[in-house]
Order: sequence, then structure tokens, then C-alpha cells
Amino acid sequence: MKKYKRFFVNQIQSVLAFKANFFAEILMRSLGFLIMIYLWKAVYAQSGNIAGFTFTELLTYFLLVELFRHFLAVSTFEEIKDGVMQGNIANYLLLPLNSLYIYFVKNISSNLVSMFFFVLPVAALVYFTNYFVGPASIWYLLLTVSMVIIALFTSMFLYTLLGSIAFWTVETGNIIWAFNFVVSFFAGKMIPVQFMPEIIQNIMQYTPFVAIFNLPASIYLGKYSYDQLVLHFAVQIAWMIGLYLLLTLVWNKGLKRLELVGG
Amino acid sequence: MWKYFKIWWRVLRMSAQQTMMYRTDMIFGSVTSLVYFVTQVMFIQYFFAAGNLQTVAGFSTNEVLLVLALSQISIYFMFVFFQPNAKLAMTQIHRGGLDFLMIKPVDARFLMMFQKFVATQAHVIILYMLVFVPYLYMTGVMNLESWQWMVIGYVVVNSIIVHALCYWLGALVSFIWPNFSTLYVFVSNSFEITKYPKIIYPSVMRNILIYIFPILLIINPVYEVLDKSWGWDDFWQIFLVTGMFVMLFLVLFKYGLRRYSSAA
Repeated sequence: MKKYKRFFVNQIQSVLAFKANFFAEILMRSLGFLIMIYLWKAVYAQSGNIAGFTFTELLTYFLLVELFRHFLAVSTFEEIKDGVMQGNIANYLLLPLNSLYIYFVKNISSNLVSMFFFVLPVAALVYFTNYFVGPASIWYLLLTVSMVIIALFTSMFLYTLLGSIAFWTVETGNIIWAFNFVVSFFAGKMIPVQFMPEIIQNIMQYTPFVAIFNLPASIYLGKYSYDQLVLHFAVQIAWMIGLYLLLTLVWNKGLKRLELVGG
Repeated sequence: MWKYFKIWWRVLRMSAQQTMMYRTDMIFGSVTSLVYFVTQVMFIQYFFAAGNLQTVAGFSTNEVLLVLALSQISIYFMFVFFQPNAKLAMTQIHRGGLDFLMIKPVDARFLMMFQKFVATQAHVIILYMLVFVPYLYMTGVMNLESWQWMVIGYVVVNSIIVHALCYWLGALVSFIWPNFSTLYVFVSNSFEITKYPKIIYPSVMRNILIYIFPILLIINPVYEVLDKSWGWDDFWQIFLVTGMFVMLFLVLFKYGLRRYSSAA
């Protein structure tokens, strides 16, 4: 682990090199949350409770989605694509380290920086205003954190797996972009999965997508019983392990296929 | 003028050839646009269904879908013609890559604005016009009076201009603050605001997004056409604000190119 520490620190320094840009971008990317507030406020003016969510619960849901978006952002697919296209991936392959882990460490470090500057204002908003609700209990808060960690690894493995297509097709920008829209929708980023038809909810609970936004936010709000939590955790841990094994297989196959010309 | 058209045509062909080099990605690019549109439609359908709503801020599902359909026209023009060039210009300003363009015997602004085209998005708009527009026609939401269609046409054309201006103003800020991409990110993320009736936003926000950074002039005025509250003051508001931002764009571009220097 010490060997990867340098990459971790370097990535943090790289992210904070242009501080004004970094902080301003965090605010600008949170615009979606602001839009959701006003949109749902117009809806809740006509209805007090929708699919078991009150207005404050829904606001808290989208606030948490915004927070998780900072922590769960994945940039590995873009780095892999650029690395394969430009040949920079050779720099990591020549090191006595696992190249895949280098990408993961860099991704986690930049996400931690991004989230660090977001979590304090979020905590302040939750505890000092009446617009948002606190966690259902300390136990649910711990379960939320656990699910977020599982979601981090699941989304990293998923996107890196897609990014590995670059070994075969080189250009993967549009493939990832298409996947992003599908995941964003079914992960509950635009609308909670609980608002979708029951058949979609039943299918989605067995996919890894719901773990990215919907599950952690819903666990925080205490929307699941303990039996349901056991099922969700079992499904997501299975996905996490399965995706990691598949990714390792595809990555090794891709590396064998890789040809780099020049120095 | 003929010289500029020839350059533009050559760039268009080269961009198409470059896109077709990566066939799988090109096919997925087409799929992506449809996927994006389908998820937007599903969101609006579930949004109304979840709350058992007939209207939101006085507008029905089909009216919101019509505005969404019109917004796609502006989006695709951006993705094909303007957004890639604005993003590329930001990088070139930051890394000193404009020198190559500025030494050419052609207006550097023209070259910067039309360096590349993203061909994967170009034909999708035809596809969705053939599928989605007939659906909207069958719902009856397109049974508008002729003056409404004329005004919608004016709003759509103006929206494309304003949308391009917003992207380019966000990019041209790089002449003053290199690698400051915040305004550009703001434009990329703020387009969602225009899809919903502006009445849901507070008046302060509406004024900022019309007069300071005219995001709410992109397609959103169609809502005023649909509820027949459109008047001459709306026409002049859009015309004058757009005119002001066109002037700002021209001045900033000229100032930026004069100020630009690189060590390349």
C-alpha cells in the first residue's frame, strides 16, 4: 500500500493546483440540485406525499445524491482511453505495481478531495436548517457509509470495465456517455427509483446501478426494513466481487492485446 | 466568402472521416443521443405519474414533452457545431495552441469556431424528428395556431444563437483566466433549467438567468407561446438581450486575441 501512497498524494496536489477553478466547478456542478428543489417544490405544492417521500425527505435525497456524486465519480475510463490512445499507459505498465490499482488510487484520492469540501456544508445544512432530515438512526448512518463504500468500488469496477473496451476499440467516449445516461437514470440520480413503476423497481434492486445513488440515500432515510437491507447488501457485495473478477480477466486480456509504438 | 465556405466544407468532410475511423464509437454516439433523449422522456413521464399530476406550473405532460423535443434541436446544433470547438478553444488558449491558427491567412475567429464537427450527432436529429414528432402530433399538443408556430420558429433560431454564445463566452473567459472552466461547466450543467417552466424559479434567479447569463432564453420562452401569454415585449426582450450578448461575444473575442500570447 505504501507504494501507491505517492500516486494518492500526487493526485490530490494535481486536483488542487487550480484552486479557484476546483471550488467554482464544485458549485457549478451542484446546479442540478438547485433545479430539483424548485421543480419538486412546484409538484409538492399539489401533493404532500409522493411514493412515501415527503418534500423534506426528497430534498434530503437529492442533497445526498449530490454528495455521493462527488465521492462516486469515476475518471478511470477516461484515463485508460487516453492512455491507450496516446500510449501513456506504458508509464504505469513499466512500474513494479498493479496498473489497475494505480488508476483506482488516483480516482479515490481526487474523489476524497472533492467530497471533503462538500461534506461540511452538507452536514451544516442538515443539522442547522429545517429543510433536510437527519439519518433515521446512527445504525442507518453507518449502513449508509458502508453502502457508499461498496458503491464506490462497484462503480469504479463497472466504469473501468467499460473503459477497458479501449483495448479493442481505442475510442470509448460515446460508449461511456451512453452508459452514463442509463446508469444515472436507473441509479436514481434524476428521480428516486421508488417513483418508477413496480416492475422496474423489482428488476433494479438486483442490479448494481441502484447502489450508486438510490440505495445509500434511501438507507439514510430509513426506507428499508432490516430484512430488505440484508438482501440489498448481499446483492451488492456479490456484484462488487463479480465485477472485480470480470474486470481482472478483461484487463489482463486487454493488456496482452495492447500494442504501443514509440518511446 | 467562397474561401470560407470551402474551408468549412473541407473541415466538415475531414471531421466525418475522422469520426468514421472509430466505427463502434460512432454507432454508440448515435445510440447515446437516443438514450439521452429516451431517459429524459421517461423522467418526465415518471415525474408526472409519481405525483398523479395533470399539470405542473400550469403545463401538461405533453406540453413539457414538446418543449423537451424543441430543446433537442438546440442541443444537437451545440453538440455538432459549437460545443466541441468551444472546448477545443479553451484547451488551445491554455496550452498555447492558437499560434497555428493565427498565422493562417484566414480570420482566426472563423478557424477557432469551426475547427471540427462531431458527425455522430448530426443524423440523430433526423431520426428523432421522424419518431418523436409524429407521437407528439398524435397527442394533439402540436395543434397550435400559425402565429404560435412562427414565434416558436423565432424562439428556436434565437435559442441556437444564445446557446452557442453562452458556450463561447464561457470558453473565451480563458483568454483572461487560463484554465478557468467554471463558466463553461455552468453552461453545460445549466441547460436543464430551460426545460421546465420558468415560473417555478424565484424571480431573482429568473432575472439573473435572462439578463446576466441568458440561459432562460434558450427554448424556455416556448412556454409563453403555449399558454398564449406571449407578447411584443417578450419579442423585444429576447431580441435586445441576444443582441447585447452578440456584441459582448465579438468584443471579448477581439480583445482576447489581441491579449493572447504564448511561449510556443
